[in-house]
Amino acid sequence: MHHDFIDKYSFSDGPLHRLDPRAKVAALVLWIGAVNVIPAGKLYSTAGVGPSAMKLLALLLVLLCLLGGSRVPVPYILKRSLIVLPFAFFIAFFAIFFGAGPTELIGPIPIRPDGVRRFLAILAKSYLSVAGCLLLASTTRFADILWALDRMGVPRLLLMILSFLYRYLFLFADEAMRMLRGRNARSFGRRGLGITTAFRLVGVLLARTYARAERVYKAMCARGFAGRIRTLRAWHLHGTDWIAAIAFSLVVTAIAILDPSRWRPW
Amino acid sequence: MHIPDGVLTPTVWIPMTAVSAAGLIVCVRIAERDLDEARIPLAGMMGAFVFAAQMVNFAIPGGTSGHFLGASLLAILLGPYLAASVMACVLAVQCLVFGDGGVTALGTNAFTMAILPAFLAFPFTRWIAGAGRAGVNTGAFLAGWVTTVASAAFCGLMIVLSGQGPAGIIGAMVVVHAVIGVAEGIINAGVLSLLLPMDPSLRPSRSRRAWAPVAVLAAALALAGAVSRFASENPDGLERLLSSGEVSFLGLSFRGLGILPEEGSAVWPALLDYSSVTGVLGVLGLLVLLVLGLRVRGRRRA
Repeated sequence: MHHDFIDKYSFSDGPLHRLDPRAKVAALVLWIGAVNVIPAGKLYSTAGVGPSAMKLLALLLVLLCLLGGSRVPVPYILKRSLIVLPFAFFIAFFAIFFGAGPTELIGPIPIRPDGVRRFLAILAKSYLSVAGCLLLASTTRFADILWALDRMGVPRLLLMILSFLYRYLFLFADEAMRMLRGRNARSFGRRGLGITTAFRLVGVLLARTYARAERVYKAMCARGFAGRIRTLRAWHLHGTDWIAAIAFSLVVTAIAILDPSRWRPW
Repeated sequence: MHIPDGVLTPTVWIPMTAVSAAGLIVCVRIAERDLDEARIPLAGMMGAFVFAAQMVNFAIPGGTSGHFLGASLLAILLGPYLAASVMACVLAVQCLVFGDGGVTALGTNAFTMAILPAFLAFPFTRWIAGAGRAGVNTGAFLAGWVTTVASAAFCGLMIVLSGQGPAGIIGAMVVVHAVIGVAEGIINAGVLSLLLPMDPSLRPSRSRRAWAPVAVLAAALALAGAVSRFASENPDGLERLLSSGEVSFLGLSFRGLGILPEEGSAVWPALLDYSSVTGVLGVLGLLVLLVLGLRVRGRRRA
C-alpha cells in the first residue's frame, strides 16, 4: 500500500469522533455555506483590514479550536489542505486582471484592485472549505458518513456505488502504480511512455475490474447479500450531539452574518 | 476541470447545483430501475477504475504529459444513466476526501464532468453498438474528443459567468482540451478495440434509449452559448436582468424584471447582499426539485 489513507485518523478516538455523523455532515454543509457567503469586496480597503478578513480569521480560529479538541494532529490537516491552493490559484489568477471594477497600473501591467481582493478571497475560501472536509474525513469513518447520508435520504444506489468505489479505490490505485512502475522499468524514460502503452494499460485495468467485480459479487451472494448494505454500528442523536451541533451552527452563522462595522456605539 | 470553492458566485453555483441534483435524481432512479443486482459491485468498482485510470499518464510530444479522464468510456460501457451516477460519486469522493474541486462547486462540476459527458457520449454509444471494427474505433474516438472539449467549454463558461475572467477563457479551454481530447479519444478507441473481441458482452446494447435527455442537454447548451454572448458583453448580466435597471440584450433594450433592487439601494438589509437573494431563490428552486424527485420515488414504490 503506497497510498497513505487520507482518513487514517478516522479510526482513532476523540471528542469529535464520538459525535453522531449526521450532526457532523450537517455541520460541514453549514461551514461551507458560511465560508462562501463572505463577500470578497470587503476583504480590505484603503482604510485598513475589512470585515470579511476578520470573518475569515474568526472562522480559521473556530477551525483551529475544533482541530485542537479533535486529537487529530493539527499540522496534518493544515498541511493537507494546502493541496487545493495550486488548483485554486490557477483558476483565480485571471480574476486579478479581468472582471468588474476599475483598473490600476502597476508598472506596465494593468491590474484590478477588486480582482486582487477576489483572488485572495478565493484562495482563503477554498483553503477553509477543504480544511473542513478533511476534518470530517479525519474524524468520521467513511462507512459512518455513508450511514448518515442514508439517513438523510441520499438514494441507496449512490451509496452503494460510493461504498464500493471507496473500498476498491486504494486497491486499484496500487494496481495502477505497479503497472506504471513496470512500464517505466521497461521504457528507460524513452520508448513506451506514449499513448499506445497507455491505452493497453487502461484496457488491462478495465478487464481486471470486470473480472474482480464478478468474483466480488459471487462472494457477496455467498455471504447473503440481498441488495443493500448493513452496518453493525447504529448512531443515536444524544444531548451532546444536539448541543455541539447547535453551538457550532450559532457561532458559524453569527460570524458569517453579523457585520461589526455597522454596529453603532451608543 | 475541477473548479475549487470561492470561484463561482452564488448566482452560478446555486442554480447549477439545483440542475445537477435534479438531473442526478432522475439518472439514479432510472439506473436503479434498470440495474441488475449483479452489476452493483461493478458500478462502484468502475468508479475506482476511473481513479486508477486517471493515474495512467502518457507523454505528449513537446515535453508535457496528460492523463485519461474516463467519463466517455464509462458512458459507453455502462450507459448514460449509470455512468452519470458513477462519475458523480467519483467527483464527490475527489471533492470530500481528496480536496479536489470545491464543495460549493460540486454541483457545477458534476454537471460538467458527469451528466454532460455521459449524455453527449450517448449518440456515439448507439453508433458503437451496431458498428464494425472501424466504426467502433471512430465512434469511441469521437465520444472521447467531443465530451472532453464540451466539458472544457462548459467549465470555462461557468468561470466566465461568475465574472472571474474574460470570455476568452472559454476559447483557451477549448484549444487546450482539443489536444487532450485527441488522447482521450485514442485511449477510448484502443481500449474498446482491445477488449470487445475478448469479451463481446462489453459491447453496449441498443436497447437503452436516452434521446430525450440528450435533446434537452443540447438545447440547454445552445442556450448557454447565447447567455455567454450576453455575459461577455455584460459581466453580471443575470443580476442586471433580475434588477429593475435598464438591460440591453442583442440590441434590444428593456426594463429588468424588478426582482432584485438596483445596486446600492438601501431596500435590503445589509446582511443580504443582492447576490445572496438570487441564492435564496435558487435554494427554493432546489427544494421544489427535491420534493418532485421524492414524489417520483414514492409513486414507483406504491
